[in-house]
Amino acid sequence: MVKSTFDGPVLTGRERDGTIGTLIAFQQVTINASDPTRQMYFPRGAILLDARVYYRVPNTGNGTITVGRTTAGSQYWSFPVNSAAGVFYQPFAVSAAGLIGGVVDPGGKVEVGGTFAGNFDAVVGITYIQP
Amino acid sequence: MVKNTFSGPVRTGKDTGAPETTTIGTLVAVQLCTVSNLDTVNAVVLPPDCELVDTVAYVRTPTSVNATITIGVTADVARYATIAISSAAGVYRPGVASAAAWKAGTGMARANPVLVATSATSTFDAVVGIFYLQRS
Repeated sequence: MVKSTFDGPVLTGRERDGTIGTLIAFQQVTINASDPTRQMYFPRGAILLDARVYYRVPNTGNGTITVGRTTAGSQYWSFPVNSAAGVFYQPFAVSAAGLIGGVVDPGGKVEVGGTFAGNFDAVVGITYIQP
Repeated sequence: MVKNTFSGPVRTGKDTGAPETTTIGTLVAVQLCTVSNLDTVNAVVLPPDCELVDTVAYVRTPTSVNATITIGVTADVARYATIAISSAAGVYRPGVASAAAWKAGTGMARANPVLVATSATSTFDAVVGIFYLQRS
């Protein structure tokens, strides 16, 4: 059986040519009205690359989705919540202080939280590379 | 050169059984296709039960008139993403998608192939990347 789960980074290229690259991994969580705060856990030293939100059920009010060490502070990314249905929203702000060098906190925990009123459902995904 | 082809998803991280220490992630795959004013509709065939992550368009030959690239179950409706293209070469990201198909599928591609189409009628050429996760 071909092994398809690796406990370290998956690399491509040739070391002798200096062409080694790391394949990008992805994790995602769902947040909604009944479960507005979720935790994601990354390997120690993981480098977060990007985040995006897929709005499955939009919200009629204004609000924010935050991705960071905690939802209250040290945010890596934040996204607007509005009444438009859609996917592929790009973050409107990155507070770089929370993500210097892209390296996630030593504990590896990332908290995703939403502040919104009423019904709402979204998938928040993060791309990263394993060190 | 060694080539590794996995028929299922490729994961990285550890599954310890405890949520606080499980760090499993799935590697992202990409398929590319081209569209042009002479070849306005193309398709990529995705694995069944895959989940779309992102799309991007690399415009090599810009159009002289604004145009769109649509990505979806069909070329004109049920779109996963719409990418607006202006008269400049470069990298373009999708705007808000008309997400009816996406919402219904909770992020999953409901059909393969996925069609990629452009409205460009004057000279135009782009490479479109579709990023996805294999789930099973």
